[in-house]
Amino acid sequence: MQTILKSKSTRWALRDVLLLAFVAVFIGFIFWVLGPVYNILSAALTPMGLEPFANNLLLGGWMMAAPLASILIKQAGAGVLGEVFAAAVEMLLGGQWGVATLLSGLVQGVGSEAGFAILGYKNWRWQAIFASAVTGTIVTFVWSLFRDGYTSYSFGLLVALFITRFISLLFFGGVLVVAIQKLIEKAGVLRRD
Amino acid sequence: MNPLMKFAIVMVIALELTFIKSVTINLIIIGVSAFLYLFLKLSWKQWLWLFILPLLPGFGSWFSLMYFGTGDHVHMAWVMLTRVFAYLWLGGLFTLKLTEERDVFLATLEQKAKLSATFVYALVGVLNFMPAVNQQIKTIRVASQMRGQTLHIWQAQLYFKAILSAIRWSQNLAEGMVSHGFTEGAPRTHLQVVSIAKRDWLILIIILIAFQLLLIPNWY
Repeated sequence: MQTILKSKSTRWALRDVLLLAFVAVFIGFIFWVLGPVYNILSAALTPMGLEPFANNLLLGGWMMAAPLASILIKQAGAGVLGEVFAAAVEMLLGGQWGVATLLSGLVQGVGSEAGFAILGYKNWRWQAIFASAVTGTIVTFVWSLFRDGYTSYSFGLLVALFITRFISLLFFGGVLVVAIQKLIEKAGVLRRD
Repeated sequence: MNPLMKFAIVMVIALELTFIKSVTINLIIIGVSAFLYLFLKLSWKQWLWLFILPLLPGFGSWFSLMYFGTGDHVHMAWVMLTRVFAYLWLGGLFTLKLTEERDVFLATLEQKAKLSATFVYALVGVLNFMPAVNQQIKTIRVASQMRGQTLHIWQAQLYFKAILSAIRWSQNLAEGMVSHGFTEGAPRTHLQVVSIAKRDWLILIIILIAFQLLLIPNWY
């Protein structure tokens, strides 16, 4: 977090901030459209007590803003800012978790960003994208232990939920983001420096 | 009350709620919020929203904790059900009035919290674009449907096209802002100077201390 504060005035260009914000809003809306589908899925799973699976299965999608912001802006702090922004959009649109959405957004952003940080913010390719999916899963799962009361689940269910979440992040935050990055590079729309 | 101060109180309590396993505390939060809503003159739609929205995630957690929980899972099931309501009702105190208070909130962020003007005005700009973003996503999907392709949530094409729009719009908006006189990093003067009343600070301190005292007894 220190680096963000120091670099805020010098390295964050207006255009980058706007791009980050727009990407977050777009992702927020795409998954807002998904809302009804998610609600049907979780309503169907609720009587069986399997609702957390619906949540874990789609978590990767809600977290896409972070790795996308990172690969587009290529700066420390982009992931956190992108995800917090996306969470703010979700909160303003009327998300089910109210203010907790913002807190979760912050945790998700930090979790995703950790992957890029481990590689020293030098690598923005698939290695870093997958690293961010791994750290994102671990960090958000620890958060869920507290926020979603996961500590009271049996061990077997926890393992199943963790695997579900990991698959979701690997797909949305990993495979899909790598594919998007390829498309962007092919199109050549983001040549800078 | 200044919206940023309200926001600070709400966020601190929400963070604490995450780690507090108490049905009573959650119910107190819901009760106090409900009491405050009486003064906010909500529409019936907003009331409905407050009651219906948390049902699904709340009961989702409740059922799964009842079935698959271990230890004090019955207690935890009730904690989760009330917690979801507490989050939303507490947050609503800030978000439901935000449309009216948005300008003051952002101005406070800039003038009092010293957030860089780039971030604040980028926020202002993008928030105004939100309806257009919604429309643009529909346009992207319809455009590809006309070519006989349906873009699904798991397809990279959908996001790629959204990002193309984001890149274009961010450049246009940046140019627009600069051409209207926005200079990055330059000191700004303000037409409306925001001041935070001493009373607001007092309320913030009293509420937060009262909340900590509330946590001392061993509630259910």
